[in-house]
Amino acid sequence: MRTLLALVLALSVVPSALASEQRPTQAELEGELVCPTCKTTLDQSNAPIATRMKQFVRSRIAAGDTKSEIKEQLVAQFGKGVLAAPEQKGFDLIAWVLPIVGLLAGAGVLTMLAWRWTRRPEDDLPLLE
Amino acid sequence: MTRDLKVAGQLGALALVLGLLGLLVWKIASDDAPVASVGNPVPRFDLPTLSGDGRVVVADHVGEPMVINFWATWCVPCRTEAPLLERAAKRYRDRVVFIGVDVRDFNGDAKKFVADYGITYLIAYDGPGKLWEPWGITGLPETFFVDRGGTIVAHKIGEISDEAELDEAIRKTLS
Repeated sequence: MRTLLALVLALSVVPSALASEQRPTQAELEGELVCPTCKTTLDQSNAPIATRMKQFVRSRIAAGDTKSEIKEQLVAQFGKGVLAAPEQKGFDLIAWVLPIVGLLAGAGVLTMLAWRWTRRPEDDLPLLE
Repeated sequence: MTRDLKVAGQLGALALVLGLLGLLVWKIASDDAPVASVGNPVPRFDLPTLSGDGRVVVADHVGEPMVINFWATWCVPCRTEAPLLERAAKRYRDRVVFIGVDVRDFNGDAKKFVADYGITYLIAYDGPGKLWEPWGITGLPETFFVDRGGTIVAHKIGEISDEAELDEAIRKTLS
């Protein structure tokens, strides 16, 4: 039952992700791109360069570019600093993986400590015959 | 065995703390690194030209007086300053090297700007703004005047108001 639910959930998420990649909206891109001068996302900025970038995004959406294509064009101009989140490939993948590894390691340590604390001291004593 | 593990864990934690402390010291030390300012040597840079057909290398021009102007198309005062700089570049041709650095800007917009204002001096392109922090840029436009010895002798934050102000700063690079 759980597997079926997970499958249904996954299948419902994939099409929307694909649609977002193929037909990105102005609002979502403005939330995923950073203004190079003020370091906030475009939707939070009215700096002149942010206004120009919004205009660029609008024109590329109208031209039918995908989300990745628009981001790539902006990275080519301004560097990776324009991306609000690191890319999920290459070295930048570490930024995504490391927090998960840290969480798992933390959970492991906590589990081990909890197991040790809940053990009664007499558990460690050798049994007397 | 358990005791060995405990000691190893403590040593690991100590190494981690020392490592983080080292990073903090390094960060503070690098933040204090001298930025471009009057009396300091001009920081070197090597950037592509705006047209993309070559490089602008500051080290190649040390020994010549330089005017290095940071600008962008979205900067309104840069538009009024551009003709002033172009006229000066023509007036001081063969005596002073003029370098424009287009920062945090669309390459295409900058090319159009250069064509519209008939700029003939060297233009470097720094789209990602790599020079912004090392040079201590606070806003645009910003202009540095460098003498033959490679020392910054004048620095203007904001728009150069007129020819007299520009000439006075250029004279410092020639003396």
